[in-house]
Order: sequence, then C-alpha cells, then structure tokens
Amino acid sequence: MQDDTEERNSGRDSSKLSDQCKNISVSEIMSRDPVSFRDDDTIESIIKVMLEYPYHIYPVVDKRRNLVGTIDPGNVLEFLFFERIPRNNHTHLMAVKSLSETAENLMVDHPLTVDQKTDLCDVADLMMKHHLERICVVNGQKLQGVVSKLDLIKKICSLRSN
Amino acid sequence: MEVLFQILLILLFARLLGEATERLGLLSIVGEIAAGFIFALLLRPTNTEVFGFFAELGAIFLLFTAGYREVHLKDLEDTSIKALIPTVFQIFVSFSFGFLIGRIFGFGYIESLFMAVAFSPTSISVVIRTLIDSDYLSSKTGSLMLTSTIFDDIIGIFLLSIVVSLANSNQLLPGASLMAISFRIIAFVIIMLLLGLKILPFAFGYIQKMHTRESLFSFVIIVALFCAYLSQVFGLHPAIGAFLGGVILSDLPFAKIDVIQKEVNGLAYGLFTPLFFAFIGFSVEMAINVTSVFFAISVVVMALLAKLIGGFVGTKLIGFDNVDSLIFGVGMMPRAGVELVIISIGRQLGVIREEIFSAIVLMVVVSIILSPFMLERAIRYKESIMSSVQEPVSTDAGQ
Repeated sequence: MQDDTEERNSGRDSSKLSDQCKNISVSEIMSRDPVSFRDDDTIESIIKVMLEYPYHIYPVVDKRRNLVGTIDPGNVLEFLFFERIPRNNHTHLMAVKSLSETAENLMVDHPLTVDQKTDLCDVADLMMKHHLERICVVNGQKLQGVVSKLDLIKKICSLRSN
Repeated sequence: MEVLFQILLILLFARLLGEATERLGLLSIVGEIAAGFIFALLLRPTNTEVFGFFAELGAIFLLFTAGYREVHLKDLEDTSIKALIPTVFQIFVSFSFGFLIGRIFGFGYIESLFMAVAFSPTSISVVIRTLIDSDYLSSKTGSLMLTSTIFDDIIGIFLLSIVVSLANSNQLLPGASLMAISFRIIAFVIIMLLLGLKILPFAFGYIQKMHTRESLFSFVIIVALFCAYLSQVFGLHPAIGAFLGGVILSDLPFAKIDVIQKEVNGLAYGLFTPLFFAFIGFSVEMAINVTSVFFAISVVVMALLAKLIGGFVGTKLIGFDNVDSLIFGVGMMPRAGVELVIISIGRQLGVIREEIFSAIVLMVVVSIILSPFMLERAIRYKESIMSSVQEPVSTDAGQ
C-alpha cells in the first residue's frame, strides 16, 4: 500500500519535473567558461590541460570563438598509441590524425551541439539515448558553454528538493 | 546444406582465418578470402543464393563504410595541385596497363575497361602500419602517399560508374549516348548533394527525437540502402550509391555519434563484409579450373608494375629524387576492398569472365602480402644510402 503511494507520488513528481525542465533552457545550467582548446593549440599543451582538468570532451574553437570541433581523451590515446589500433581501422583518416601536431587535425570536426535555448528535457533525452556525457552549447556557431550530465543531475536534484 | 548452417560455418571460418592472417601481420581480408575458398573446396555447396545475397550486401556496406568513416571532405579542399600530378599519373598508367593487358589477351572493350578500373585504385590501409613502424608516414613521400590516396576511392568510383553504365548498354557507345550517361551520373550526384546538404541534416534533427528503439541507427542504414537503390534506378551499381551515401553522412553529427558508428561498423565488419570477402574466395575456387596460370601471373605483375612505374614517373615529374620516387611507387601498389567490389560487380553483370575475376583476386592477395614487405625494403634502402653518405637518418619530418 505504501509502495503504491510512493509510486503515485514519484509518478506525479516526475511529470511535474518534466514540465519544469521544459521551461528551463540549457543556458541556465551550463558551464559558461569551459576548459576549451584553440584550433592551433599543440598536442603537448592539450595533453597537459587534459591531465589537469579531466573531462569527457573538450570544445575546440577558432580565433573568433566559433566551435570547430571537439577532442576527447580517446582521440589523444589513439594518437599516442597508434600501434595498438587494430589493423582494420588503419584508414586514411586515422593516418592523417596520427600525424597531427595541432588540435585542428586531431579533433572530431562534426561535433554534436545544442542551441542555448534548448530545454533540459531535450538535453536529457540526447544524453540518455546516445550515451553522451557532455554536449557543447552554441548560439549559431559561437560556443556559449558546455553542459554535462552532472550539471543536469545537480539541477534536477535542486528541483526535486524544492 | 541448410542455409543457416552454411552462413554460420562461413562466418566462423572467415573470423578464424581472418584472425590468423591478422596475427601474421596481414590484413584479415586474406584470411576471409581463404575461408570462402576452403569452404567451397571442402563442402561443395549447391544452394548458395543466400550466401550470395549477403555478399552483395557486404559489397554495399564495404563501400558505404568507406565513404562514411574514411572520406574526409575537408582533406580534399586542402590538397595541392602538386600532389595531383603523381596521383593522376599513377592512376592513368594503371588504367592504361589494365586496359592494354585485357586487349593483348583478346578480351573485349568492356571487359578490358573493367580490368582497367580494377587496376586503378590503391588501398593505403595495407601499408599504413609499415609507414608508421618505419617512421616514414610524416616524411615528404609519406604525406604525398596519404594525399594521393584521398582521391583514389573517389576516382575509382567515378571510373566504375562510367564503366558500369557502358556495361549495362553492353556496347561502346557513340558520343550522344556517352553524354546521356554523363548526364545521368551528374544528375545522380546532384540529388546526392541535395540530400546531403539540405534534406538529411534537417531530417536527422527529427529522427534523433524518435521514440522507437535504435531509430537513428536504422535511418543510417536506410540512407545507405536508399542511396544504393537510387543509384540502381539511375543505371549505376548499388555499391556506387552506397559509397556516396556514406560520404554525405560522413559530416553529419547525429549520423556520426560514437554509438551509431560502432553499431554500423559492427553490422558491416562483423557480418556483411567478411561474407563478401569469403564469397570472393568461394567464387575463385569455382573459377580456378578455367584460369590460365600465365594470364594470372601477367595480371599480377602488370598491376603491380603499373603502380610502381606510374608512381615513380609521377613523383619524378614534381622533382622527387629516384629513391623517394621508388618508395612512392611501391607505396601505391597495394589493392584491397574497393578493387574486389569492382570485379565482383563486373562478374555479377556477366561482363567479365571467370579467369579475369580469379586473376584480379590473386593480384589483390599478392599485393596485400608483398607491398608492406617491399615498402619496408625500399625505406631501408633509402636509410642505408643516407647513412653511407654519413648524414643523420631522417625522414624529412615536418615537410
């Protein structure tokens, strides 16, 4: 009986939570000044920053702060330990990346982004469906910030406790 | 033999022999072709329709993933005219050698053209490991090899489109009909561009919000199959459309999410392409009795020589020295997946005879085995020359 009541409560809570999240834009919870790289940053400097500030992905911007790509530790590991990449994955693109000297060559240049007005429900859906840890938030091409699962968790916890 | 058991057995053979050749330092393609060959030799199956259908899907997915994960449109923009000279030259020489050898051995124009197209591309993936192990990838010649092979698949697919259209008409055509074929190819490419630049980026924004399971993955596959089908409607082969389908998805963020890429690769490399390569080996075993040894050896030698000569002369033209030109020529020798798709299309269309088919498969296998070894020897040769003139062993890094 008590379980039923709890279920009903949590059901009501979660629908209320969705309604609330629909009215909150991602720009309210994102990190506005994320650790990012410039497209001409060297691999050495990238590794140094990565070791100091560990994240799942890092945005790469050009001199006008337009988002041009993302780098994750996987890209760096493949760069450093190219010989361990299975032979079947020795594609032309892999070879080009193995010669990278700057972020521009190493990055993934088709990053998944969300607009700064996107609501939290859509961001949560994206993260849960496609196993994304962090997503770059943009306004047009300009990088505005980065939103992570932890940012979402923090916000949802605060909404629930209210 | 039950179909289910047949597929199970071929896939098992392909994986085990593929692993064995990987451990020997060769591409798994060699083991997978051997698996099909042994399967045919031992079991002599009669009903292979399903196997053949899976193999056809394998060819489609092989070219789709070549476009989807390997083509990088930005690299094409960065390529200099200087790099184009050796590229076009080595492809031109290989094409000519392929065509000539076909004519010398008395084959028709279309058959010889298919040989010419199968001679043309290079599969750099075969020698990337050698280039890295020899610390040669970053050299001037290594970079040129990479640049040169950016165009390889694209030029190969373009040539294939023309030859398939000619084969479908089954004759050499007068100028007007050639114009019609060119028009068809251009119209198809325009539709693909429209799809890639306008429709798909818009559509994938909605598709990613769909509630059905794995809808994003399904739509990537749907795009592959749709492009394959559309190219057939335009009188081209499905594999050609699949390649372009892969290219138009290659820069689309939602189509390239890591999990989706892994799923697409899993389907392609875990199921379809091993069956395609095994089917190649299977078909060779069936054709081996009609293949003349002299012809097969001539094809192997001429195909490898064509790349060596074309690459050597092409790089000499842009001012490389003899040894670097030799290394470039050897680096252009390997052939692999795309070449096998080309000849299986020719065989499927009933255009090329079994002996051409077997000879070119042999050429691909020999090139996969020989190229890394020969490239390593060529690089060592250069190093020995450099150390004998008492200069530091360097690889022109950073040029």
